[in-house]
Amino acid sequence: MSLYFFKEMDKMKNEILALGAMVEGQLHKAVRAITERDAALAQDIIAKDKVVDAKEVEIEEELLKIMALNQPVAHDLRFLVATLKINNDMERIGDLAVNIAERAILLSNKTQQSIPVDLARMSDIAESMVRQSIDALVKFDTEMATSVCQTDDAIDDLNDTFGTILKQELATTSDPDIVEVLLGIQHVCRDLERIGDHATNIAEDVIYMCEGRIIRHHIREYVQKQAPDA
Amino acid sequence: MKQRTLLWQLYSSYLLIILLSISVVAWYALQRSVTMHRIQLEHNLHAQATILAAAVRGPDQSILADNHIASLCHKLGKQLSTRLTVLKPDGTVIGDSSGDPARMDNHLDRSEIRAAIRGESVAVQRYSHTVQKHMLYIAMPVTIDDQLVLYVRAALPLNIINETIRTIITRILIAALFVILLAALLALGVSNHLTQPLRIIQAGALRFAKGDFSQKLPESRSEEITALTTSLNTMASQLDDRMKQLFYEKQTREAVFHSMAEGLLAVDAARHIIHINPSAAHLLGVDQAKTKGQPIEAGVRNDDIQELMREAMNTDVPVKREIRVGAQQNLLLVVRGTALRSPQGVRIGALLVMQDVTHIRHLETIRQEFVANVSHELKTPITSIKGFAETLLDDSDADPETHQRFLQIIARQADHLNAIISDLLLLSSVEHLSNQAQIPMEPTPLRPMLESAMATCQRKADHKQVSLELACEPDITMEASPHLFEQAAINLIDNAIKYSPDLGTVQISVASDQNEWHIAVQDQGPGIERQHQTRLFERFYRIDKGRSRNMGGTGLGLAIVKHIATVHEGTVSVVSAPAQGSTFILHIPRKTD
Repeated sequence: MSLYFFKEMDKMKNEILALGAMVEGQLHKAVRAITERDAALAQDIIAKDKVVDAKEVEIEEELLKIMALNQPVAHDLRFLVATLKINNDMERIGDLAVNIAERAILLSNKTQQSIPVDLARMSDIAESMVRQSIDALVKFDTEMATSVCQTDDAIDDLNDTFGTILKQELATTSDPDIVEVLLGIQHVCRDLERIGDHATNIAEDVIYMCEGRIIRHHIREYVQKQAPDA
Repeated sequence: MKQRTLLWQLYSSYLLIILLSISVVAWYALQRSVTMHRIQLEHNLHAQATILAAAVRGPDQSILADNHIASLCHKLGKQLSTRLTVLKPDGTVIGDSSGDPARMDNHLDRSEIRAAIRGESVAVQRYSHTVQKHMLYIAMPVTIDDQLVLYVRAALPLNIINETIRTIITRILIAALFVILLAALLALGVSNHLTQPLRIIQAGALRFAKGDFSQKLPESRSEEITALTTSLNTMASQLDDRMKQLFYEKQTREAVFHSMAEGLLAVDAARHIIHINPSAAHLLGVDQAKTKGQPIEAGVRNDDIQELMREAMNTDVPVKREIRVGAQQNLLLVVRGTALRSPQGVRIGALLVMQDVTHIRHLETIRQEFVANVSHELKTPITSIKGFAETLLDDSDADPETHQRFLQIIARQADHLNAIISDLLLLSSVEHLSNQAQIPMEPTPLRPMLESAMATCQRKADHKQVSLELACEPDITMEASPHLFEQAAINLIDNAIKYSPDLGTVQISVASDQNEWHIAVQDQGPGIERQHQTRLFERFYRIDKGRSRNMGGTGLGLAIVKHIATVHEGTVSVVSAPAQGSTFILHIPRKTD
């Protein structure tokens, strides 16, 4: 293909990585806003989401232009298609971070309530999944991508466990403030779990990019094949 | 223009010159040889004719008889290998060495005879019907007393002459060829020798181009070549110096970048990382070797840094921002960005300089908070005291009961104020002591000390129906300052009780490994979130300001515990999670005895 095409592909990769960095930053700030109950930080996150959305649209348009003008095949085609989907997942992670930020604003008004679950543990897993999935994209590393897929179970379990604890707490109280806080935390747990799912999607798309296989619904078989003695 | 080697150019010129000269000389030599040969031949014929003329004379001025003459022709002709002919003045042939004279026709019309008649003894070349060959003739008249009596003629066949001439030509040509070959070889040698210095210079120049200035070019016998090699050698040594200087400058620059405490990150116009020093790699948590050359979006995965870099590239003024980095985002950097400019002022990229201000900012925050906290803590009781005192002064005729109550409140607030100030003083002295490490230590039995601390807190525990349990071997002794250590234990137990639920249990246990004593105080309280755990031991740090102030306390308890631990050359740590209670552990190193 022409030199122009290679340059455009390179640029596309850098753009998606820039979006990834933005989204990673949004997620981290959202988690911090919750733990530190920082309403100002939460506002920043909500404001920045417009930039994230604009970037997603920009990437998609660029991508379609490349495909229309160059008719790529094989590896290049897989790369562009996977990037299109990853673009989408990243923007969704950004939106979920905004959701979490909104809960932080709620929490900042009710500082006397403490959070009965170890949110830090769950948010750590979610953040590391997002970070690892983007790492896998940078290096085209299917092993890293596979481990992200495997981690999704852990965050799902935590979501269930915390959900149960929160339900118990809800049953024992009638104070509307406490109820609001507990429900908010429940939302945050769910948002984190969905972020984990999106990170898994990104990882699966990376595997598709590298190997041409869609493992979306066959994760366990794929993982078994990669490490038969694990 | 097709280029040919100098060697070939020289050599071909030489060859041409050699060929031309030898050809000209050979040609000239040939011509002369041939001509000389002809002349010589004619001389010979003339001489032979003369001898024949003399031989046909008899004694007394007569001539020999015809048959004598005939046999004389034959004999002499054979001896001389020449055709000899004698004629009468009327043209009849008397004698001929190559045939029977009687059969020959009249020769008077022959051109050589006619020439002899005219008196010219010239050589004549013509075809002879007699012998059927081309011949060369010379004829001469024979006179006795000035009277013509005979003609004599000498002749040679031309083919013999021509053969001789051919031999001469061949010999000269072979000689010429041999000389040409020899000369050509010699010329090749000379050309090679002349062009050799140029080849040496070429090889030398190639070496210089590769950066090898170790060997200088040798001098040559020719002036011009030597001038050239001298210039080249000078150029080489200058280049060498300059390269060494550049290398030295580069090394110095690299050393500066490498040793800087600030992080340096530079990108080019295409946003590829062209330079990252070890400090920057450390601050950003990336591998220095792997990041170089990568685009910044792949190398540094921090959105704020990327954005700052984009800004720096597009503006003329420097930009500055505080950015959090790190996996836990607990490093605070002040990052300054400017556009990178070439010496001509063209923008070729951007440069970020990072300074780690985490610690400084942290200290500033602590200080600010401490000052605010102390002011607030002190102000609260004083406001109460002032308020109630003023009320008492204004309202002097209220009933004694109200007076009593107000005075009690004032006393209590004064006590609280006192407690804060005592704690501050204690903290300050413990800090001071821990800086100087001059506390008297003595072996202290641990169990009695802990039991004493528990006794001090018993009343508060009973109030909430919290039970205190101790698990400690009775014979453990520890190097400690008894008063200070007991104070630390009291603070921890007091906190545990404070945050325990009613009917809860506070467990104090003592364990040890090879190096340390672990004195743990565990409660069943609400637990402490992770982000508070690192700041827990700061002065006046409160997780939940409302709740803990309601429970009393000065906010300095844990800070005091920490410093007491430091005095004992140990540390204090906390293990806790929300809804899982908290355990505070004092780590005191065992003194080797």
